[in-house]
Amino acid sequence: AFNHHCQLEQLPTELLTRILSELDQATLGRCAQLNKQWRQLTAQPLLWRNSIRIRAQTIIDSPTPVNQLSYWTSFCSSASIQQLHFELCSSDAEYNRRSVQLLNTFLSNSPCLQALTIQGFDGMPTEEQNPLVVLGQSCSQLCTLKLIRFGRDLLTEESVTALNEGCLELVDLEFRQSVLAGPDSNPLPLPQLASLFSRLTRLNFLHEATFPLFLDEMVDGTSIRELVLNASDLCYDEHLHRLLSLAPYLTTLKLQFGEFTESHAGPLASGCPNLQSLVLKNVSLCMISATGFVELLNGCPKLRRLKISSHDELDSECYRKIVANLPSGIEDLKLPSFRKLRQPDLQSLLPRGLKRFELPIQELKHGCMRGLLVGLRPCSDLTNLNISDCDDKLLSDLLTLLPRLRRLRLTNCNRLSGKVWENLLKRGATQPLPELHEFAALKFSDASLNDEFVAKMCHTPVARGLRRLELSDCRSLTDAALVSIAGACPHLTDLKLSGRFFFKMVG
Amino acid sequence: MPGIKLLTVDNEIVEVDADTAKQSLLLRSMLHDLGVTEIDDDEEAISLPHVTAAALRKAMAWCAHHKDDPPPPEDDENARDLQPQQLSSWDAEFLRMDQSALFELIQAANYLDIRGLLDTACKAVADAIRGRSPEEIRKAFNIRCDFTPQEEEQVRRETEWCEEK
Repeated sequence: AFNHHCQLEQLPTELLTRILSELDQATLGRCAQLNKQWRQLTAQPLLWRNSIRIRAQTIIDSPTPVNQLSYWTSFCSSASIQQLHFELCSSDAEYNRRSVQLLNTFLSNSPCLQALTIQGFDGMPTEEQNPLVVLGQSCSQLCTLKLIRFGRDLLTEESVTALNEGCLELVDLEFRQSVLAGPDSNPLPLPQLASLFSRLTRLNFLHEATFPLFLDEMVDGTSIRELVLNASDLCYDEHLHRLLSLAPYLTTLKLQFGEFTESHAGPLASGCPNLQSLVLKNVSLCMISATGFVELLNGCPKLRRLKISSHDELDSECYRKIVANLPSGIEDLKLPSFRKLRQPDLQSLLPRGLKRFELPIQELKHGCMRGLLVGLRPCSDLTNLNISDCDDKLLSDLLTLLPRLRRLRLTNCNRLSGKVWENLLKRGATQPLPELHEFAALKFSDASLNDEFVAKMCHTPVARGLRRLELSDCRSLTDAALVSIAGACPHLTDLKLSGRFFFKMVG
Repeated sequence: MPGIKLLTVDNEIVEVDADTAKQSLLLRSMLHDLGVTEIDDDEEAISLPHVTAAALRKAMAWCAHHKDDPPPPEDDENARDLQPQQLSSWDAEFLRMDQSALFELIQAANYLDIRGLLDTACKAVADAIRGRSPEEIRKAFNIRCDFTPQEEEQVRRETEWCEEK
C-alpha cells in the first residue's frame, strides 16, 4: 500500500465510495462519464438513495437508454431513493401521458421514498393510473409530499383515500399553485382531504379560497404545529377562531398574500398562546391599526420570530408601539416600511435578546437612522442587521456598538464613503470590532464606491473574515479593487459586484 | 507529556504524544492492549505497516489541533444534511498539499481510524471534483478514459438527467 505517487484511482473502492458519497447528483453523473471503473463506482445504489431530481422531458427526449421504463425500473429498485423531485412535462397530451407513466414507474419501484415533490402536473391522462394511488400503494414510508402547479383532477376521492390508508407516516403536506381549471364536475374530496390534514404536523396550503371548506370538515388538528396559508382564506374571524381551536399547539404560522386585518389579529391574540413564529409575507396592511398589533403581540408572549413584509406603509406610531410591546424572547424581527419615521421613533429600545433585525425599505430624512444607535444599544448579541440608509458616521458607530455582528446589509449607501473605514481604524485600536462574514452594500452614489473605498475597507479587521461580499453599483471599480479583496479576504467564497464593471483576469 | 514511538512503512521512527495519538482508534486500542503509558528507550517502536512518516506526522498535527473538539454527532442517517458542509478555514488550509500526499493522508486516516480527519480529507477531495466537467476531472486527477467514443456518448446521454437543477 506504500506508494510514492499515490493516484486517486489507487485508493481502495471503499474510500473512493466515501468520497463519492459527498457528491451531488450532477457531479456523480459527470464522474460516471470518466471511465469504466468510475462508471461502476457511481452505479452503487447507496450513492443515489438520498435525493434525486428528474425532469421528465430530459428522459423522454433522450434517445437512450433504449427501453426507458425498464432502465428506470431497475435503477429505482436498486437505488432505494429516499427523496424525489419530479417535474412533469406537459407540452402536449402524449408528453403528459409519458411523464405520468414515468412517474408511476418511479413510485412503484421506490418503497423507501420519504419525500416527494411533484411539479407541473397538468391533468390526469385517462389511460394512466393516478400517481397518488400508486404512492399510497407503494410508498408506505412517505413523510413529505409537495404538489406544485397541479391539476385538481389529481385529487380524487380514490387518490386521497389511497394516501390516507397507504402513507401513514405522512405529516408534511404542501399544495401550491394548483391549477384550478378543471371540470367542475370533479369537486375536491373534502372529507378525505380534511381527514388527511388532521394527521399533519405541517401544512402549506396556498390554494385560493378553498381552505375554509376544510375547516368545516376537520374535527381535530392537535398534531398541527406549522401552517402556511393564504391570508385572504382566513378573512372572517370565525374561520380563524375555528382553526385555532382545532390546532391548539400551533407554533408557526405564515400568512401570505391578501389583507392582514384586525379580524386576524384579534383571534391570534386570544387563541394562539403557543405561537413562536409569525410571518406575514406580502400582505396588505391598510386595514390594521397600531392597537391591533399591540393586542396581537400581547397575546403571543412566546413569540421568537416576527417577520412582516408588505407594499403598504405603517404609521410611525405603529413602529413605536410594536417595538414597545415586543415579547422579551424575540430573536428575529423584520418590519415593513413606516411613514415619516423620525429619529426619536427609532430610539425605541429593542429587546435585549434580538439576534436578527431587518428594517429594509425606508424613506427617511437624512440622519434619522441614527436613532438606531440608541434603539440597538441593548442588543449586544445582534448577529444580522439589514437596514437602508447609512452614512459614514452611522456605519462606524454601528460596527463599534455591535461586536457580534456577522451579517450586514445596507440597501442604500449613497451617503457612504471611504472615510468610514478611516474612522474605524482609529477606533479599532481601542475597541473590538466585529468580524463580518457577510457584507452587502448597495446603491452607492456614482463616485463613492471606488478602488480607494475597497482598499480602505480591506485594511480594517472587519474585512478579514468575509465569506460573502456584495457591492453595487461598481462602475468606478477596476482590477485594483479585486486585488485588494483577494489579498484581504482569505475565506471569501462569494463575490458579487454588480453594475457596469469590466473584469480583467487577476492572479 | 508522555510520548510513544511508531515505526512507519518507510522505516522511520516517529515519536508522538500519547494523548494526541489516542484520537486514532487503532493506536488507542494498541496502547491499551500493550499497556504503554510512557516512553521508554528500551521499548520497541510500534510498527505501522501502512502509514508513511509524512502522512503520520500530518495526521498527528491534525489530531493535535482538533484535540479539544466536541465529539462528532451520532451517525444518524436522517440528520445527514443534503447541503455539503464547508470545511473550516483551518482544515482547508491544512489540507492544501499535493494530491499524492492528500491521498496518502486519507489512507493513513482510514488505517489509523481517525474519523474526523477521514471525513474532512474526503470532503476536500469531493470539493476538488465538484463543479468540473468530466474532461477537467480526468485532467485534474490523471484519470485515463477507456471508453470508445460510442460508449462515451452513450454514458453521456444516460447521465444527462443528472444535470437537472
